Amino acid sequence: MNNDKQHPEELLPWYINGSLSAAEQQSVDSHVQSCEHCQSEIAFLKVIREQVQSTEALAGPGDLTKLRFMNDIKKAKKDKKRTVAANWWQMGLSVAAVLVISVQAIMILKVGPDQSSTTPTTAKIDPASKMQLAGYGKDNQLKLRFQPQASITEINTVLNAVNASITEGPDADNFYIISIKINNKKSSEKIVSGIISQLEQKTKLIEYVDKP
Amino acid sequence: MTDEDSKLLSQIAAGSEAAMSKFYDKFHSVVYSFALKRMREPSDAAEVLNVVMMEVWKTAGRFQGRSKVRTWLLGITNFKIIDSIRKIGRHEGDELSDEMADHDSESAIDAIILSENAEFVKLCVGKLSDNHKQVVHLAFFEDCSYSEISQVIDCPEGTIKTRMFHAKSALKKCLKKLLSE
Repeated sequence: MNNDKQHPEELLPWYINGSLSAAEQQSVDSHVQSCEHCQSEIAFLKVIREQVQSTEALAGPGDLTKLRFMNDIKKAKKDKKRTVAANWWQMGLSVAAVLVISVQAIMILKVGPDQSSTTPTTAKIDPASKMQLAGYGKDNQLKLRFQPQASITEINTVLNAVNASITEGPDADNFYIISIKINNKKSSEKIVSGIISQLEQKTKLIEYVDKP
Repeated sequence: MTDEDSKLLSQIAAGSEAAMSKFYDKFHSVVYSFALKRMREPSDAAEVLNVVMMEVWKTAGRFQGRSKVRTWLLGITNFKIIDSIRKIGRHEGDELSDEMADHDSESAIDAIILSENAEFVKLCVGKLSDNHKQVVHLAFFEDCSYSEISQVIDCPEGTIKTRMFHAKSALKKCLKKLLSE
């Protein structure tokens, strides 16, 4: 701080967090020794800092937030590659289109109307988009969204308790597919609806359960 | 900026997922706690964390080393929080305003009494306006210098000091009220 006229009091928050320059630190040090008001301000600010640190240190997102992010960057990588490939295709198609039009124009001029027919092509489904919960819809599967602060350990405990495991996900909306192991197929419907009610009660961990 | 952070950002810019994972582990709590302080809802803060880390993934190559990595990251986070609050349209109703910071709030509060009433401090910090919360969080949780805070928030250093002054006064007023009840 270059302004000599300022009262050192306004530097006290940064005096106690230790981020002042050596010159500022020295200037505040010598002032504080003879200023009772600043001494009491420092004591006050130290309590505030301690409380802010102890309260906010508890904050932390769940492990799933990272899993979701790492999944997102994998998708972003794929999308980037796809965009680059699409740009090349676009350029290639434009050149091809010009060539076809030119050839057709020559043919029309020479032979008359074109008799050929076009065959429709089947669009390829990208496996990444299929992951948009491909297994969803099977009898023993459910679609879930976990609370962002839920840890993997907590989730595994809940899923183990209902004999289920994650089979797919997360998708772009953070949904997962879980599969439930059911030995008695005859009563699977009842078992699944029982599990749905159990999971719906775990509101601290599960934000949403989709009923099939 | 440490060499390690600089290396990580270069690797991220080159597309290394492993480097991104390390960066995430090292800095996610910086982003998340700053976002949580301002957004209140953990799910909103987690969303901001995701958006900020994605921005790092996309723009790591643009980092020029003019500031610390943490300051650069907090600057991105601040921008994304503002963007997110605007989208959500959340109104923080029960805030301590600047008007509450009058002369009376400048008198001393006994630090010992205060440390015995930690819940009051938490409550009053939570009631600060968004601008004041930013400054208090960055100074007392992240231990940022006023110069770093001015880079993160993109405000003059004088404004940061003024905001801190008002935040402190508003806190005192709120604490005095609670302690006298």
